Amino acid sequence: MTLSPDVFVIGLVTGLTYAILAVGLVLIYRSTRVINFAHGQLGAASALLLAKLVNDHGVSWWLAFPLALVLAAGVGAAAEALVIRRLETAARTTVMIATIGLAQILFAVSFWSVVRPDTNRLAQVGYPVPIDWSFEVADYVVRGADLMIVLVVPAAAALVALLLRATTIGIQIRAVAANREAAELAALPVRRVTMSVWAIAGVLSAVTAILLGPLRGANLTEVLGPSLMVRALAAALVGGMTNLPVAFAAGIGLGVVEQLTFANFASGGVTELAVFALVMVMLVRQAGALSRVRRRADDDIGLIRPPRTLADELATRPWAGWLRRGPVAAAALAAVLLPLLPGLDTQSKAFLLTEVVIYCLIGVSLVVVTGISGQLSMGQFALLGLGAYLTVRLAPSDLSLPVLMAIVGGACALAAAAIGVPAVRVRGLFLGVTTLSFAVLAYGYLFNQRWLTNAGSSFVTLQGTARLPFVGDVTTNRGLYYTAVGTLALALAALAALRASGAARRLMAVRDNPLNAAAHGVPPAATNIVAFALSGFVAGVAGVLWAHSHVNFDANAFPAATSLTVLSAAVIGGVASPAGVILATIAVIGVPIVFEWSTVLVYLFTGAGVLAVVLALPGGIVAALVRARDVLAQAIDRNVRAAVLAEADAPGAPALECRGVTVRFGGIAALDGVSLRVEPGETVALIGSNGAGKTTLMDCVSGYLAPDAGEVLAFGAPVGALSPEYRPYTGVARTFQDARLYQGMTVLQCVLVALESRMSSGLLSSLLAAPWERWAERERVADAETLLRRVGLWEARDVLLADLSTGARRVCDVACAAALRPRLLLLDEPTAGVSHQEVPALLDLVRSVRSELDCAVLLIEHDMAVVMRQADRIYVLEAGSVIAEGVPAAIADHPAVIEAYLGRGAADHAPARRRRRAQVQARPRAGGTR
Amino acid sequence: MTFGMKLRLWARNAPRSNVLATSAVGVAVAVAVVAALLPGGGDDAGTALFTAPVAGGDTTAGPVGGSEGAVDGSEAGDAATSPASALTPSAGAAGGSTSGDPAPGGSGSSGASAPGGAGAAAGSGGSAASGAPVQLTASDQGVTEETIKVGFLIPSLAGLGNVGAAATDSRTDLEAVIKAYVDHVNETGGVAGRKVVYVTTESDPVNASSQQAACIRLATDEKVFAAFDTASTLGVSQNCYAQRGVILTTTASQTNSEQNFQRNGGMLASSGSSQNRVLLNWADLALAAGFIGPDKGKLGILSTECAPDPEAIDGDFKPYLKQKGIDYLDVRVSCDLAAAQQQVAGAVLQFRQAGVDRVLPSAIFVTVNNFLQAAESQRYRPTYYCSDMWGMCLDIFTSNFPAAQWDGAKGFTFSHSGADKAGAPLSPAVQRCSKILTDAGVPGVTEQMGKDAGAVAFCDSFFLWVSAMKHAPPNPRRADFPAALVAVGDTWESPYAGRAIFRSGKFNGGDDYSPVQWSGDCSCYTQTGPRAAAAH
Repeated sequence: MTLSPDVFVIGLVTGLTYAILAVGLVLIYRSTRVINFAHGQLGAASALLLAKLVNDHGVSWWLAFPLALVLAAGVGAAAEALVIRRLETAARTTVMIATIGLAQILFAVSFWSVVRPDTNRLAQVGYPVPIDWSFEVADYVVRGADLMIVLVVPAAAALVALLLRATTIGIQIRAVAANREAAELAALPVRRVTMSVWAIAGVLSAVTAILLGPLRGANLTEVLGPSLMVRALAAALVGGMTNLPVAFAAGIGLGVVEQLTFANFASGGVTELAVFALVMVMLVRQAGALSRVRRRADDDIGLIRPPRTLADELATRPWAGWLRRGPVAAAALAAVLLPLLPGLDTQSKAFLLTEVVIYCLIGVSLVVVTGISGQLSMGQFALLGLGAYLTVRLAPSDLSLPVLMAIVGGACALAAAAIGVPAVRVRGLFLGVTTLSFAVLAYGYLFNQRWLTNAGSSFVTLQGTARLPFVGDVTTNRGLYYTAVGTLALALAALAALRASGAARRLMAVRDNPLNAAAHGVPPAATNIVAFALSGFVAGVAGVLWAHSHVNFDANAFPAATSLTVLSAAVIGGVASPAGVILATIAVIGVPIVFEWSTVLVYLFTGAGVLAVVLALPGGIVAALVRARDVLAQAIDRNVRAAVLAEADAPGAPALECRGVTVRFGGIAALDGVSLRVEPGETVALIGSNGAGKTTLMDCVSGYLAPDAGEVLAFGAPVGALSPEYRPYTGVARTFQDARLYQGMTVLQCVLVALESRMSSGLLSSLLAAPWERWAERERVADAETLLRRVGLWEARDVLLADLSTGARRVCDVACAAALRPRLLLLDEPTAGVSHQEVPALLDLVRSVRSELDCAVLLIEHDMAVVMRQADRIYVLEAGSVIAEGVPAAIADHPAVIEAYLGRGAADHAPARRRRRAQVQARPRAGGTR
Repeated sequence: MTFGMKLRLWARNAPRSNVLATSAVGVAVAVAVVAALLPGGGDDAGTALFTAPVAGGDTTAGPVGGSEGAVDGSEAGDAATSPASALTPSAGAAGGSTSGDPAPGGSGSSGASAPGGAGAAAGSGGSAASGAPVQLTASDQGVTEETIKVGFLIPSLAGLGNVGAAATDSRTDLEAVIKAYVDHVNETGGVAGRKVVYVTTESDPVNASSQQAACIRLATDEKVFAAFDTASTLGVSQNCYAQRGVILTTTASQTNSEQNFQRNGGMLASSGSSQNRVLLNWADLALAAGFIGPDKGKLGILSTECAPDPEAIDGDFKPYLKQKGIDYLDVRVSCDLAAAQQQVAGAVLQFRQAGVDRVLPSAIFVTVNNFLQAAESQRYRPTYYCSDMWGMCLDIFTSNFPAAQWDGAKGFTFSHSGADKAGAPLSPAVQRCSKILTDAGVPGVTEQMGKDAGAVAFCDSFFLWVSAMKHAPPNPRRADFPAALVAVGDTWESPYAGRAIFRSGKFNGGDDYSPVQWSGDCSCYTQTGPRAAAAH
């Protein structure tokens, strides 16, 4: 084993670069609780500018250096003012994603010719260094660049420490870091302090880049790829994201271990493995420190709010279901039609579309682990890669696709569970680092292992095609696209089922409060690991599809940065919402893939898009969707409900109001300006001699006749123009004089017909005997049974209507009306033809229906005894006009009524109490003499 | 309420403007759906996602059949699956090809023939059949009685198209270059008696998905007979074509392994050399030149984990070095650029401590550049050697290397790298390429390996196929290509790679190498001697 001093020196130099990066990360984290993925890029442009000034324009290094630092401070301050400040209230994950977008934009800026030096000259003369002397430690020549690192990095770190401890601004920074609210109350200039921190971070970043310049040359801007970020983050985490000296030391230690490993194994892959192992060990060992951070909820990835559901008053509207199902149906239709549309109808486009669907699947896996469980995963794409390699490995077994998905998904679930083990000790942003480490490890080591690839390198070829049971081989890219879409649909269905289950509640409970969850018997550790396993399963399934889509691939297909891109898309979408995540994935990743945009443009587009969405839509795309849905729902509600359907429970609205209803048959006015009201819960009788217009009025109310003039309002909404089949949906039900119903159908069937209005059968689903249709039918029969038992007709359920007595038919008619759950029941001579013995029972039934449904009743009845007992008020029609209105006692005493209709004896049926009240209320109607 | 009821309700009561607008959208969607469902370019016929690699032809077979036949229809489906194509007889006589104005690299062995007429060229090991005219048929994918359809892959670095080309100082008129080549072939008789029609598509050399999509576009959507590439489709992605039963000729052979050339059964062909052969030939030449040897110093190999490099280095190169008694140390850095940057200083240290005094870098130029800078800072100045691995013998990848380290680097390349700087005239094959271009009014070739490399490479990959097709039956099938390529034998003079010999089981060339040396004065390579034949 090599333990020579020169290796330690290289390790020291390497480690110091990690250390200075870690210091910058800690500094930002302490003040804003953000893991700043843009840290390296804050100073990259400045470092390039220094090279440009010195190499291309001959400016002195000592003059260019402060200029570069000023620029870096400005970039840092601008980043804070333009991005970070605007996200003060956003979830920390969102801010972290914003820094990824920021990094992408700054990376693009670094190619701007204003700051970019002549790369040829840079390569030839090297990156400028002010010190040009050297000495040797063992075999290693410590030159100016190394010396700068050795001298400047500790000095810079010490300066930062001193700044924090001994200066006013430092004390303010610490105060803000400790308690932002308290600092604000103490009138500290919190925003200025935060901006100062970012400016300092910019300077630190520039110092780092300038120190690395001689080692990196023209590739300076790539200084912070995921692999370096993992190392710097690990060092920062060892310091609990707060302890600068510990983070600094950890950075050095990491560098030394890395170089020792490389010196002894001469393999970059093994070195990655060692780094990964070290990161995991350090994280677990520091779990105690991190748990203190956790208690401050600093590692929370933010309150994950599920998308707001439709407001209750709108959710009950008849069209609300379509508002929910419509977009799903539209999306499904779009997914089916997309590869058939002109411009997308080729197999090459189908391949690209398949890739988008696979990315969507990865997004779904993130919904599980991050959206539901609250665990931040930055390594999902590596799990997909693992699934792809396992698929190639299993290909010789000639398994069908579902079986392959089950096995590969299971294996990836186990791998994900293993990655999630640190979730027992750490969570949130810190757990994200372990998953990012896995992504780096997978790319650099795992996918090069012969035991996984069964090849001499990471390059593999899938032998065979996807095989689906009952379908056969999927031999086209379009076929594979539909297979992927079907898989995505299944994943979404499973996710929906999961979200509605107790399992998801357990995950969410642990996410929101693991201590409380444990007190309720939910094991936090195991629950978190289960979440990782579930997401791993989905990612593994995506890997199966990936392997079949690409056929040939190597490790380069699964770079660690892609995991961050996928996570960015998920956060942009709203990580708790599958719809939002999928939409964002399509927008951020899918569109550039399908339309084959330049990767450079994609980089710019993604960075700008991430910032735009994060700044403009803090809740993600799903928040905008929810807002749009609500606006749409309100608009529909205004346009449709107010115009057409009854205003349910509108304040003060009567159950029925007729205003000047006129119906003419030729020259004869069957109704002539009839007005009446039925209040909710009230029973109103309509009486009059034959031909008075009672049934005509009821036909108007129930939609069989359209009035020639006047209005009919049900619960405040005009319904006069609606045909009868809409009445059940306005809350109006009616029986008929003849109670014929459906003579060729049984009692049960008649009631089931009425129940269709509430639970309608789909034609196609009935033809296909769909499971949900069979379920709905069972529900309908159960409801019908309840109703028929209630009205006493259950025993006669299989009797044809034609074979029933009139009384039984009327009971059945009432049952059918009750099945509609009306709020206004129109009864047209319910006792007509019913035997005297059956009338009381029928009336009891009507009363009980009214009572149970709390509905209003408009009753046409000739039996005055019935009317007087049932009605709260009575309208008297004569020759198409209302001649009187009032409580039964008043009507009984009304002279015009007596004269026209009742006869003197009728008054005797009214109870004495009602009679007294009626004397006060009863009044003649205008036109009542007609 | 049923959907119909809701619709009626809405139609009756919604504002007229809403109803009209929605109806218009509905009609548009319906029209789009109907249009989409009508048969169009996206039919699935013959669009197999993955077909088994087409087996190479029997290179020792006798005369290829000589009967005639016709396939009903204008264009046959996938030969591998179409019953019609299975019935298609191959003809004993090669279709007409040009001879009056020989194609670049033309072997001169092809007989003169009129388009559609019976050629005199020998088939794949077969003899010319009867002189009777052969009825041309739609014998395979991309082939009609009158045309044969091919595809060209135009590199689009990072998807930037000509912007990327200009940034790398490459030609931006490759469309015109391709047209000139194709027009030339058509004017001189076409291929297999048919006019060559072509399509082009862009492919990003740094994006595997783009390369795969380009493959599917040409092989499945456009149903080409063959595709030609310079360096837009690399390594693993090259396999896609053979898997879809389409011929691919490319000059980016050194990004793929010999194993893959074998697996693809001759449907993947190149004038250049596979990784494995590049390394083995380099070892032989370096031994002969005294760069390495049992009694020489220790050879350091700076390699990467990038696929398929380890396959060639571990599988062939290192065992061969060991067999030759050469002491070596392989230090393998990560494929990740940022991680590799952290490791190059350690690699320098290991080489130095192991006494390595000569280094063969086999890594991407970015990593090698970092290694050189680290070496310079360590005052470690070994002798450097270059090979065609990662284009280390090409100016385009090495012009930025620090002269203090790379000056004097020597190596061997199957390309014409260094020829221009040595003042050598354009090779005859390249001159022919250039003449075709200038005759068509397109700027000719002035540098074999500089900015004109793309034009030369297309000339190579396209005319290699044209030459091979002279040995195919007049009603060719893609499956005939491997045998036809083998029939080319040693007669192909490559514009891009010098000599290329094809024989049974050997489908890539690079059979002679130029010694080159890099000079810090021009930051470029110069040929230092005549080309030498390679043994592998």
